[in-house]
Amino acid sequence: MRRVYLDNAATTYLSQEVINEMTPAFNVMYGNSNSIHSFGREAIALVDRARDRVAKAIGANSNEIYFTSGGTEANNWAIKGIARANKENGKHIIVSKIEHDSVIESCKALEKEGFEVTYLNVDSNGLVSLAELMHEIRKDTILISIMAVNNEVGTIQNLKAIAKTAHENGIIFHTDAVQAIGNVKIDVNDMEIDVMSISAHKMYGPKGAGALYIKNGVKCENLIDGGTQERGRRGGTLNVPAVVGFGKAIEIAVRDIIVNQQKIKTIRDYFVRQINARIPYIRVNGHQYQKVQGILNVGFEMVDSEALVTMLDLEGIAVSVGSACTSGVAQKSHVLEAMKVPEEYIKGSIRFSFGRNVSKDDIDYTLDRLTEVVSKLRAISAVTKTGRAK
Amino acid sequence: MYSERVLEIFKNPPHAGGLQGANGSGKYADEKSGDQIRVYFKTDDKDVVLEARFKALGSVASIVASSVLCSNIVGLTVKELQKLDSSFITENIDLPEDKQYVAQFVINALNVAIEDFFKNKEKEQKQEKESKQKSVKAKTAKKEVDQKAKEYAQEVKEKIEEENDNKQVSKTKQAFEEMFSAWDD
Repeated sequence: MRRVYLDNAATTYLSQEVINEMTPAFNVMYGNSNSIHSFGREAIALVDRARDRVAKAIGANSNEIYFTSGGTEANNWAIKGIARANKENGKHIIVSKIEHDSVIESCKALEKEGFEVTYLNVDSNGLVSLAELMHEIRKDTILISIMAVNNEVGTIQNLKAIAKTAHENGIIFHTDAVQAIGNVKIDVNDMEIDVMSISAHKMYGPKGAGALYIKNGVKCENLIDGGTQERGRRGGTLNVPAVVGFGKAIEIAVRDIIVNQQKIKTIRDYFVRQINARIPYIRVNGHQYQKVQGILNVGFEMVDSEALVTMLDLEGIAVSVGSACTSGVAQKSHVLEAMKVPEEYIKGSIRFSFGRNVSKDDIDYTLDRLTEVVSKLRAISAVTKTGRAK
Repeated sequence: MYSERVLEIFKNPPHAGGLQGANGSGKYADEKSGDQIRVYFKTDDKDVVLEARFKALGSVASIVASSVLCSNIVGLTVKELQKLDSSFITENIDLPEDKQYVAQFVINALNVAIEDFFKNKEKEQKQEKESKQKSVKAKTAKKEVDQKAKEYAQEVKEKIEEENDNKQVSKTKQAFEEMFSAWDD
């Protein structure tokens, strides 16, 4: 059976270039990067080179990059660390309703500590309104966090404008850029970003490595104590091979951004044309233009997304219900709900996320199977196209 | 997450679809998850389930749970259906623990179908009773009408006879008068 992977927003394969870069760190230069002997010094040199690559890729200084275990840790650190370090200036935080769970849950944890959080609405395309943001800013607002690219629908936020608004009011601006790097150009200085979360495994790098960019001068408490690693700001032995892989992956991602986006746009546009022609009662969720090419969220009326994903899986096709982090639990997508996507489409929404290695044959196979399984599920559905139960 | 058996059933779920001539049909819609389950069954005159079908807008678990219910209620009486709870499903198929709650949705739909069955039965019985009563009424009314018709017919007969008698008398009278008038000449 053919196997087609269309869940690249969940994770990607490692490119061979990245694997080659990582290999020596496994069994040749395998020291602990915190050790003072030569094995340790070799390892730290690898780490520092990776750090330089990450910094260069996003327009930052190397001493502003702190490696983490991934995007979730980076988000936790940013939200909790900034809030706690700046609480003498206020206890109000603003985020959007469509942030990743690692941001939302961090906010919920801070609410238990006495912080107040405003969750901004988004429009039907998933965009935050600047007017609403300005309206919600208070004298005691200390942090605004808005993700650069939404992981479920791919909408790109107006980061520069949001950052400017934050700074005009003396507020720190954080962005979760996990889905952004390699898909849109990000320059932390040009965009006035103060703190930013990144993850390696969404850009053909290894799982288990990410980074938090913290602009020099921004106060941010530690999240993980118990070691002098990362200049005393993040305890724990670094996963050196993963960090090395991360450095290489981000270098490639930024280098190849235009070529990759063009290729994926071709695939995506073809896919959208075909599903519109072959399958009735569907809806593409998200912004028509201000989006990354790789993420396509489609709602299918009269079917359930888990059933659809499972049927496709039985045909060898991997896609996702909303996001990988929330799948497996019977809850509606908070992103699609915030965008006020009609209920009948939320129930049957799935995310296709294209990678750079997908072929036309893969896509055609997917289209054929998708058409079949949607028909099959609709034939036994309790709901007709009018929305009334049969 | 799902076992091989669950996935096998899910690929081609038995008993999926509508049921012509169903005498019990029910729907349950869960607001939180958006799942909707429809259960249909048909019984014989002893209220034994002959056939059962389902339609579902829901997860793998919802579809499989619905199918498993329908497979296992054929042959049961409606009275036996009333005693079923979600364990009837979860004991017959190995759904993951965090998905077992959907069995209750299916039972809820079944309970609505059972209610519908009794409503239909009551309606049927009421209609039968009314039909019987109508028939008795009609028979009685016919009898009365027949009786009245008979009586009327008798009346008319007697009247005619009377008239005929009168006619006869006047004829006879006329005949005698003619006879006597002949003598007068």
